Amino acid sequence: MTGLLDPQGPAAERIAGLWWLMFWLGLAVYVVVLALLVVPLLRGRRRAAAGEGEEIAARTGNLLIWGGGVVVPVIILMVLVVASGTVGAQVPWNRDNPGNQLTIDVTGHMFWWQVHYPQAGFETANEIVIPAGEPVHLRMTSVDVIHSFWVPQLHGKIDLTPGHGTTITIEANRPGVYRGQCAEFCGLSHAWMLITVDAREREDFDQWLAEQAEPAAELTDGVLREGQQLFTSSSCVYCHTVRGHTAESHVGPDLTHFASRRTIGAGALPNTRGHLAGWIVDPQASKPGNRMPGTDLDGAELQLLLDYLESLR
Amino acid sequence: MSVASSRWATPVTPGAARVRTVGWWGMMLGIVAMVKFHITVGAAYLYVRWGHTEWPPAGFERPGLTPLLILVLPIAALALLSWARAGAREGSAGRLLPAVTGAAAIGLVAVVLRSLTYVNAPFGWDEHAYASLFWLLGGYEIIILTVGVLFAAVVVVQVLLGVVNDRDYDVLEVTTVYWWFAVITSAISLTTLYLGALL
Amino acid sequence: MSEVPPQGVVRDETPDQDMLTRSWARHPGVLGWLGQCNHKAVGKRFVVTAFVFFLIGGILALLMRVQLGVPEAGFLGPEAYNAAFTMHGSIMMFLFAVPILEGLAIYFVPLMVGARDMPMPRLNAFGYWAYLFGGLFLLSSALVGAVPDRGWFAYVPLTGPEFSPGDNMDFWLLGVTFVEISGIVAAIEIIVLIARFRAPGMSLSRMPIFAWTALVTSLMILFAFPPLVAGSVMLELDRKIGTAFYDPALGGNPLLWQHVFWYFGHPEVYIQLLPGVGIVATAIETATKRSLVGRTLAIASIVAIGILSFGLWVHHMFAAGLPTLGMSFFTAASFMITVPTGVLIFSFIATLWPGGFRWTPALLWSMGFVVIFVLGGITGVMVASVPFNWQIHDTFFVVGHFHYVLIGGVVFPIFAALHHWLPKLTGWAFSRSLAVWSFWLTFIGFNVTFFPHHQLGFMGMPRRVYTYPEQFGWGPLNLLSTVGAFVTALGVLLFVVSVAMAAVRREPAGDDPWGGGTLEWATTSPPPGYNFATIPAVRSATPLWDTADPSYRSGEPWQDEYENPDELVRVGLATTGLDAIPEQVVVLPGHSLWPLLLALFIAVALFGLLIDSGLIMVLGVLACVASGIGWLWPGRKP
Repeated sequence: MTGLLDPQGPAAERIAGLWWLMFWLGLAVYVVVLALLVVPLLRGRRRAAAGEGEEIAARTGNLLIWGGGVVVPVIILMVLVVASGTVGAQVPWNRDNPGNQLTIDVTGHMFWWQVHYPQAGFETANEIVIPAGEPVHLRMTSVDVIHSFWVPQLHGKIDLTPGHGTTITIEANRPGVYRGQCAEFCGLSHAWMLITVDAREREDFDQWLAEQAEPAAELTDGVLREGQQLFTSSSCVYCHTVRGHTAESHVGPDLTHFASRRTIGAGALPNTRGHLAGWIVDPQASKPGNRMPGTDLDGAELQLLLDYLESLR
Repeated sequence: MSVASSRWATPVTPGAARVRTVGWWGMMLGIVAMVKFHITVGAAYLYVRWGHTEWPPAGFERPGLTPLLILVLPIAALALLSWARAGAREGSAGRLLPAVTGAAAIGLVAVVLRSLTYVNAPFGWDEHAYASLFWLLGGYEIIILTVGVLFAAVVVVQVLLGVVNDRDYDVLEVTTVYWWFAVITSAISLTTLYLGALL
Repeated sequence: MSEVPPQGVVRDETPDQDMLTRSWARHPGVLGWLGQCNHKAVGKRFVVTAFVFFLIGGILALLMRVQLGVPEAGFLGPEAYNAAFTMHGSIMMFLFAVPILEGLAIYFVPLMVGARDMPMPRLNAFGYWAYLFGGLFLLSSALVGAVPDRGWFAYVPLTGPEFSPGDNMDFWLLGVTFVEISGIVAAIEIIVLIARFRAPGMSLSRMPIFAWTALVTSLMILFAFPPLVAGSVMLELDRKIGTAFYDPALGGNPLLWQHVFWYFGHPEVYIQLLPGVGIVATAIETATKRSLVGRTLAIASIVAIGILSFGLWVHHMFAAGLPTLGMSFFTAASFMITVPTGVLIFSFIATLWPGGFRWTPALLWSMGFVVIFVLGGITGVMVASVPFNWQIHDTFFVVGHFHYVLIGGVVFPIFAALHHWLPKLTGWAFSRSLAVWSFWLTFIGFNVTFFPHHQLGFMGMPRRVYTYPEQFGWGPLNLLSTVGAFVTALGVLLFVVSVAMAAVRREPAGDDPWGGGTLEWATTSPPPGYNFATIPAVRSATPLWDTADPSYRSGEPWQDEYENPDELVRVGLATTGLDAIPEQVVVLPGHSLWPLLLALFIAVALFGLLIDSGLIMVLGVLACVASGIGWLWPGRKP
């Protein structure tokens, strides 16, 4: 199970702890209430002598109502207010960057995540790579509708609202791949707006950062150059950027190091040659409503394009 | 055929003082609902306003204070209606026709003047949220005043038909209550739009 | 100290029942049927219409469950799925839960307080027609293939002009606003009814709990619905004429919609729950033949819930990125509502405590309420905790939570109410064994459907996804949930069968099959047009347990006018607001087509707005004004 009860970061751990406190208190309350309900239900039809019922009801009534309805709930709720407030204060959520944290800008689009590393100065999409064991500051906004960023094993969610900036600080205890997805209904392919947080050891992260900051390599291979030619002369470049090969456009995901990513279409498909071919020809088939139009390339052209895209490591 | 209207009620104790009719209660509650609508739009105005450091936002000129003077008219209409009602309560029907007709006419003038200041606003509703709120609050106020004029006109017709007189004047009671609400609505809208923009 | 009205003093005159029957009969023919304004006709229409909408909403739920039963299913595409969850939520919230409870209140509260009709019967009829046409307006979107598909919460900017260019959201905004107006109208009716039409001696302290919940609910509607109307007007203006209330590029704010919507949306939940509480209290009182233990405290709790519910709306926005300090206030307020709710639950338990009650079907469904609703309440406390909410907000945990609250707290009590009151409303006896079978199927099916949702939320499944990849491992629990949904549907189907069988058999139920303590059981089943020939007098909260014949007998002259009115004149009695002392005899209208026409022309005007036809809109508005004048035209004085 990879949900929020298998926390892999300090924020999710604290919230899971809060859950277990609330779970045991809630369970106790539920069991007691049901037990108190079952007692009279079992007595059921056994008819009390005239007036006796009223007497019993009046006698026990005050105790039940004031004890069960007021005193006990107030005590439990006071415990919960303190616990909830404490966890809320411990967990960094929508706070300013204290200054020493790695900052990443995440921008919501229908239906993918634009990910920008301002300090290193490059852009990628749908996969956020972070150093494990360090708090990372995510600054969020949206260019279209409201989305919500949620990686349950690391932290709770926060909305990406157009015109309203928010932030969240995530941290993974250990290297690993943590899955999440958009949690605010954002339209037709809301179900396929997945995100991955990939936590790596610091040195691996630094190496990844350096690689990603590089523009796409100058191509020497003839076939690949043909593919590049096809890409840059087609409608692809209206939306996609390959740094070093094309002009900049931020409508669709940056493809400079596309082949280094795990999935296509924000998690809709694994990033394999076959799926990529299907995606390019008819993106609506696997992710209805996404903004990418289909293409009518012939087989040879498609192979050239695939060769080129797969070279963008 | 059963009768079609609930305007008649007789006190259980003959000669007892008049009491609030069912229609009066209905109107009061209807007013509560409309006030809640107005409060929501007013709160939206404040919510949007607090999101801006400059208000009216850059590029919008501050509206003048002259439209505030229009408020005198609904107040005058209300005064006339109250005067007519006081007359009916004292048993004199003579004031009914002139006073209610006067109130309807003054109300109509208020609607016309208010609409003129409204359509001459120096910006369109689609230019900014400020402009949209300006048009919505003003438009709501004009609708409320227009309905008040219609109510007063209905009373005039009923006075002419002899249905409303110094014994049966529940419609007048209800119309007066409505005009209290219309005056207050107008005052709040005008203050928000013309005075509030200066703060 | 309330007056003790005279009871049982024999007078010379007896009510002229023939005259009353003629006066309160409906006009002949189809037009007579359409022009009915009596609260029983209107209430019955509300209940039947709302139940039909309930079945439609339920079928949509089954379609969704089929789609989610297995990973990456192709049963519904995303378009159809999004339309299904939008319409399921909208129908259940706007067209089923509130209207059916209003319908029950419109039918039974006048009987319970000893009145002959609603205070403004034509306005009451208008409320029904506005509801019917608003609902049909919303559903007619299916005919042109523009079904609303942006969620019942309709968040901007997704619902704004840029991202929803079709007519889908216009159908939603206009239809829902129309239904909201109907709700406001019904609320005004019920408040005036309770303020002015209670039988002599029924001071507020002697009013039945269900009437209390109807009063508090109506006040809440009056304060909660106009904000949604305002929000919808602003959104529709953004869509139609390009205003910028919600457009951040032009100084507007998308969060404004969320504030306005939840300012309505949270009280809405309690608007549905409180009448449910009133029904359960009624069922328990009737089964145990005891007044609710801690009755005053229970009424105070109902009022407290009504007030507190207006201070919770931000807990739907905990993930929006608002200041944390402000949010903790809403956590505390949300926690606080547990106390009055706890008082109510323990008041129920205390009333049952001595045992010695009759297992009526209504009691069975009410016990289902306690078992399910308490669990939903406990998860509700959890959801109100800000940090935990960050995790489970917009997940299936929340879907599970609010179905426990809404089905446990609203649907189960509605079934309790139907079992309790349908014998009175129809005059038929209903099969007990079918009621029991239907209960257990619904109860078990419900828990199988919705309990796994909590776990799915923990596993990371968000709401409103039309499908999910197999490797996430959500398949088995979803399949279980789908199976449960069909069991639940079978339980509901058995209820429909039970109604059909009762209708065929037409075995008389008797005037008072449960031995109830409130006034609706003092008249025949179904009640005559005039409800009570002689007005009842009330000396306690349960007048029928004091005396079998609570008729008011004082020999005052107004009573003659009340019992022997002029030919074909309907009269009712208005009493003072707090102590219910007789005040005036009121003539009530009995037939009018103007409410129907007014509602119809409003629908025409809205249709004009929908299709951008200024001409149809203006004609519709003019026809509305004409209907209004016809309505207000002075009738014949008796």
